Amino acid sequence: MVNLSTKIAGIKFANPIFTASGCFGHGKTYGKFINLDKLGAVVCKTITLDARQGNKPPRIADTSGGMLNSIGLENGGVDNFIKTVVPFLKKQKTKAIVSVAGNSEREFTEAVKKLNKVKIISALEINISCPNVVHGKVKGLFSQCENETAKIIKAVKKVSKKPIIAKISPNVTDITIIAKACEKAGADAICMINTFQAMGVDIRTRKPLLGNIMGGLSGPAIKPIALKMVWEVYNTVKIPIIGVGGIMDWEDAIEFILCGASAVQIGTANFVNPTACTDILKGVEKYFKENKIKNINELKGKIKL
Amino acid sequence: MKKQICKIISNKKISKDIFLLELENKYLAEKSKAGQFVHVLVPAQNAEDKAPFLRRPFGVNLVDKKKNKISLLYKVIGSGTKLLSQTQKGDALDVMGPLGNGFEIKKAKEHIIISGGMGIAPLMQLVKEIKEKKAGKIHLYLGAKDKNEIVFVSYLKKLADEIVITTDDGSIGEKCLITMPAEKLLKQNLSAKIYACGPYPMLKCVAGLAKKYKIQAQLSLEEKMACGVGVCLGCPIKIKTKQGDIYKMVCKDGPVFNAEDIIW
Ligand SMILES: Cc1cc2nc3c(=O)[nH]c(=O)nc-3n(C[C@H](O)[C@H](O)[C@H](O)COP(=O)(O)OP(=O)(O)OC[C@H]3O[C@@H](n4cnc5c(N)ncnc54)[C@H](O)[C@@H]3O)c2cc1C
Ligand SMILES: Cc1cc2nc3c(=O)[nH]c(=O)nc-3n(C[C@H](O)[C@H](O)[C@H](O)COP(=O)(O)O)c2cc1C
Ligand code: FES
Repeated sequence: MVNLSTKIAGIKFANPIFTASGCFGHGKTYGKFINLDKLGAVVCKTITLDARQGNKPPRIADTSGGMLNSIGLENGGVDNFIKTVVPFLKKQKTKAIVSVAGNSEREFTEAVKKLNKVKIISALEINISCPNVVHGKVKGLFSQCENETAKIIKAVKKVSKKPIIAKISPNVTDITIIAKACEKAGADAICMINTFQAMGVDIRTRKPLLGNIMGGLSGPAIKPIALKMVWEVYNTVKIPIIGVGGIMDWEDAIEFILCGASAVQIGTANFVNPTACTDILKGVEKYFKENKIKNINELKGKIKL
Repeated sequence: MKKQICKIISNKKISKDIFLLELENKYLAEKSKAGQFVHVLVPAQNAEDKAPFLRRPFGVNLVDKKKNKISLLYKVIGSGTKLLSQTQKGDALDVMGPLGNGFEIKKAKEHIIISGGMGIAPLMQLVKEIKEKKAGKIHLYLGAKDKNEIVFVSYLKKLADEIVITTDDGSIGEKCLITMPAEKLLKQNLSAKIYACGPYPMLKCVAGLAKKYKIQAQLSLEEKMACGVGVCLGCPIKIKTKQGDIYKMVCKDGPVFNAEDIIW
């Protein structure tokens, strides 16, 4: 047996292959295509304190090497999540990470307090980087602002009984500044990156492709940029990094680990290939075996310069 | 629902820009029913092709349980459908399906089936199932842009009790919208059920007629899709429910919805 385990925020995950929030639901549907127990962790779709309807359609567009989305955090709210999703998560062997967003410090902390009581949740991912919703009174996204990032991470850290992973946006001048702010505010890990703000136009109708006009770009098109950002942040902070952005196959996953990721998340790839997560896991396992890697630390951040 | 690699038995042009693709697959033939769809990963043929990134949804056109095959009927409108039209007999195609809910067929005196353009694709299997179940008389109303889009008429004539055709340019049938002759039939106060698939304005009009004549209508809708299985929340349609108006997903909760529940 190859040892694929990885440690993040004091938690030992069986392997570094996680799902990306919003791209896997909470696992029930894709559980019909793959064995969920094999995954390192399932990261659930972001939830908010109160239910949200999400944005008007169209919410999806195809683009070269990726896709645009403007879902807008449609979800049933924390209470509904605890009532309807947690019983399912309880039955799974895989660790569950729950993603939380809010419009204010209070919305974040109230949601976190409710989730504190749910034993089976391993960690919380704090989504301060969704490009498709309003971020309180901030012009732009919480994680585009060093102070707002610090304020929210500090506030959730104060009330949370669970490790905190900060999920940040690539739409900044210098992502290391935001990463440092997360670390200083007490984040246990950083998840990067969320989608890039983007748009598209139908030249026949001259209308935007998305109902919300702008949305987020994901998929293979963003991978090289995500990779570069992970490498930069790896060289700046001490807390572990969970790499996400355009990972389509196991080679991509290894690249992220070599650039410093302690784990990776698979997002858009699931839509194209519903068995992507386990396909990637198999490839990573084979790579570890063939290269006689005994521990992920032998690989993490070890690009040869 | 499964993801499988299926063999293409044939992929033939049957009219201008319209192709019929047959797939060999036991599981899909056994499980698929009228109104459900499959999600196809369209392969690039040449380096210069702009292959679509996401899968493309297509209605199940006809199911042949004996021969373990299903067919898709599609029109070339963009890069994905163009590349699909270039696939050939013997090629492998990555297909997820069957997906979605499909039509519910209940006994009724008259079944009024209204198609607009490529809406005929999933409705052919519906006609076949109603006929096989001997569920009632079939009135088939086919509307299209022009005569090129009116396909499989001789096949459908064998199954339907009545076929009415209209086109926008009058190249075949009356030159008007298909909802006009359909309303004439509905006026007769029938004990009937309506089924429709086609462009948004046509479906909206059918929903209006169904309400006016108090007849239950099932409409098959379209929305841009990514996952096709209800995960990404990318294909919403606003639906009236007891808890208020909420978004449901066309891929998972549909593509077939009751006309009276839809908020236009
Ligand atoms: C559940 C479902 C079932 C479907 N079944 C069938 C079927 O049986 N037969 C069939 O021919 N088509 C069907 N469609 C439509 C089909 O999926 C699209 O035609 C296809 O995805 C277009 O892909 P493309 O890459 O060729 O075009 P794209 O490059 O994606 O689009 C080209 C242009 O056409 C427009 N366009 C794209 N999709 C549509 C659409 N659905 N309606 C109107 N304009 C559109 C785009 O806005 C763009 O301007 C179905 C769609 C859904 C959601
Ligand atoms: C349809 C869709 C929905 C998403 N929803 C969320 C979400 O709810 N919360 C979140 O933190 N990220 C969300 N994301 C971002 C992904 O988790 C991921 O960060 C991003 O897509 C980049 O990775 P990828 O290229 O592998 O998809 C979403 C992405 C997509 C495509
Ligand atoms: S296409 Fe993903 S929810 Fe419908």
